[in-house]
Amino acid sequence: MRHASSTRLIWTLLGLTFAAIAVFLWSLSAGAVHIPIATIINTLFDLDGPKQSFIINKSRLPRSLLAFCTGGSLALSGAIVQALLRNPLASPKIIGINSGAALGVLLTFILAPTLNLNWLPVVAACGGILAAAAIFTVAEIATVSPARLALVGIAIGMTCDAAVDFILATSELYEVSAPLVWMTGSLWNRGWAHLNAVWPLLVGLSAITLLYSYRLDLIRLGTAQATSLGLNVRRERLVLLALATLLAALSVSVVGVLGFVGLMAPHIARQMVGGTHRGLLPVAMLVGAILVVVADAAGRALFAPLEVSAGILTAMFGAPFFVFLLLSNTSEARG
Amino acid sequence: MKRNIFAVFGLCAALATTPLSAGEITHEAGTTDVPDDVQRIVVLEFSFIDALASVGVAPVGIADDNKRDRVIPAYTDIIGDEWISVGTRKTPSLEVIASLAPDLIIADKTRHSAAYDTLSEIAPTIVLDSLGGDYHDSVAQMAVIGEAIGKKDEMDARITQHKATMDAYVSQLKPLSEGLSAQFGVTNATGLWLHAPVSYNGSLLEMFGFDSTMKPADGDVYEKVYVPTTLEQLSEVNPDILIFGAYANPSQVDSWKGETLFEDLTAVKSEKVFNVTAHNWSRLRGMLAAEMTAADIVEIMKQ
Repeated sequence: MRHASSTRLIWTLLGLTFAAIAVFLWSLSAGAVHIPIATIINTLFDLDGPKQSFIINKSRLPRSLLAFCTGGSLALSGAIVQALLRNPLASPKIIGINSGAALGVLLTFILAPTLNLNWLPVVAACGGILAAAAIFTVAEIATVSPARLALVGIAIGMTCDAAVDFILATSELYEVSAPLVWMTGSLWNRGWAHLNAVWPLLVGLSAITLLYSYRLDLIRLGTAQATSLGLNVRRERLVLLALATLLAALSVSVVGVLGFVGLMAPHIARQMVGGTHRGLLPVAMLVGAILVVVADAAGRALFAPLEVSAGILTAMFGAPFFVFLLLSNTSEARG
Repeated sequence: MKRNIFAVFGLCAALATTPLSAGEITHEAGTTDVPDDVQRIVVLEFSFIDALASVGVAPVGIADDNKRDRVIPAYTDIIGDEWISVGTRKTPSLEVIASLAPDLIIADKTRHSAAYDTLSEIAPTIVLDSLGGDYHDSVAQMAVIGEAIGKKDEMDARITQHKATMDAYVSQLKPLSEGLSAQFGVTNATGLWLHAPVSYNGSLLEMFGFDSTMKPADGDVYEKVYVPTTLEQLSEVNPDILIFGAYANPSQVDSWKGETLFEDLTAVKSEKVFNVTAHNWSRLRGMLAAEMTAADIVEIMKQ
C-alpha cells in the first residue's frame, strides 16, 4: 500500500512537472501578438534572425515566471491553512491576507495619493501581514481552536472588506483605477523588477515549508493527539501560519487578489495524491503554478488586445469547481 | 532591436553633447528625450487623438477600448482608420504597443503612471494629465504634444485659431449665461456622476459664464473631479440648467422621472434639462472636442 502510493506520487509529480514545463513554453507563445516559434527561440537564446526582445524577454518571460512562483506559493499557503484550520473551505483569504492587502493599497492611495505606484507591492504585503497578525493575536487571546481562528479571520476580513467598499463608494472610481486593476489579480505591467523582488523569498519560504510538512500531518490529527506525540502544537502552528501568511502576502502584493488558487489547487492535489502533506504540498504547488500561468497567458490571448485579469479567469474556473467540490463531498473523505 | 537603436542613439547624444533629438520634453512623469521626426505614435487617451488630428498626424496605435467607433468621424476624417487598437485605456496591451515599434508613446497620468517605466522601455514616453485635467490644461497639453511630435509651429497656429473660435463662443454665450448656473453629469443604468467645476466640462461651463452650484465637500483630501450623485444630492445642487450625457437607455436619471424630488428641480420645472452625446462630452477632451461642446451649448441656449 505504502509502495503503491509512493509510486503514484512519483508519477503524478513527474507528469505535473512535464505539464508545467509544457504550459510554461506555451505561455511564451500566447498573447496579443502572434510570434512564430522560431522567433521565440531566437529571442530566448539570442540567436541570429528575427527577434521580439520586448515581448518575449521583458513581458511574457517575467510574467510567466511570476505567475509560476505566485501560483505555487498561493497553493502552498492554501494547503497549510486548510491543514491548520482542519477546514476544506479555508484559503489564504480566511486569514485576512487578501482583504488586508486590498485595504492597505486603497488607504495608501487615499492618504498618500502622490506616492510612487512602485510602492504598491510593499504596502500590499504590509497590509496582508498586519491583517493576519491581528487575526492571530485575537485568536491567541482566547483558546486557540481552528474553528475560532477561522471565525476571527472571517470577521476581521469582513471588517477590512467593509473599509475597502467604503473607500470605493466614497472616492472616485476614476482616481482609483490602478488599484482596481490590482484588486482583480492582474499581471498586467509586471516585469523583472517585480519577479526579482519576490522570487528569492518565495522560493526560500517554500523550501522551509516543504521541510516542515511532516508536522502538518501531526497537527491534522488534532491538538490533543499531536501534543501526545511530542509536538509543541502552539509554536508549530504559529510558525506554519507565519509561513502561510508570508507566502500569500508576498504573492498578493505583486499579482493582486488572485481568487480561488489557494482554495482550488490543494483540493485538486488531494484528489490526485491524497492528504499526506509530503506529497500533497509539492503537487498542490505545481497545480497552482500551472493554473496561474494558464490563466495569465489565456487572459492576454483570449480577447486580445483586451487583457482579462488572471484573477477573473481563476475565479471563473474556481466557482464551478467549488460547486463540484460540494457535490462530490464523498470523495472528500480521502483528504 | 528598435530599443537598442535608441540606447545607442541616446549614448551618442550624451557623448557628443550635440542634441540629436527634437528636444527634451518635460511632462508629468519627468523629462523625456524625444527623437527628431517621430513617425510612429501610440496614444493611450482620446484627447491625444484630438491633438494629433489638429495638426493632421495619424497615430499608429490607439487605446480605443477595442471599440473603433469611439474614435468619432470628426477625427477619422483626418487620421483615417488605419490605426491598430492597443486595447483598453485602463490596461492597454503592452505587447501590441511594442509590436507597433513606436517612436513616441503619449500616456495619461491617472491611468498609466504605474506603467511609465515599462512604456519607456518600449519607446520614449510622455505622460500628460488628460483624465484629471481641466479644459485649460487640455489646451496646454496640445502645445506639449505639438513640440514632442516636431510640429510646434503648426500646433501653435491651430491653438491660436482655436482660442479665437472659443473667444467667439464666449462672447456669444456670456450675455445668455449671465446669472445662470449650469451642471453637466454623466448617467448610466446605475448612477449619475456630476462633473465638478474643476473638471474639464466644469471649467468649460465656467469659461462660458455659467455659475456652479456644486459645493466642494468639506474634509476631502483631494478635489473630486467626477462626483457620484444621488437624487437627493442632485436636489441640493439644483442648478438652473441640467445637461445629461446618458451611456444607457433607460438611464438612472430616466428612472427618477416622476419622483417629486426630481420634478421639483428648478431645471425640470423650467424645462431646462438637456441631453447631449455622453461620449463626446465625457470621454473626449481637446480642441475639436471643446469646439463641439461649445456648439452644443449654443444649441442649448437657443432652446
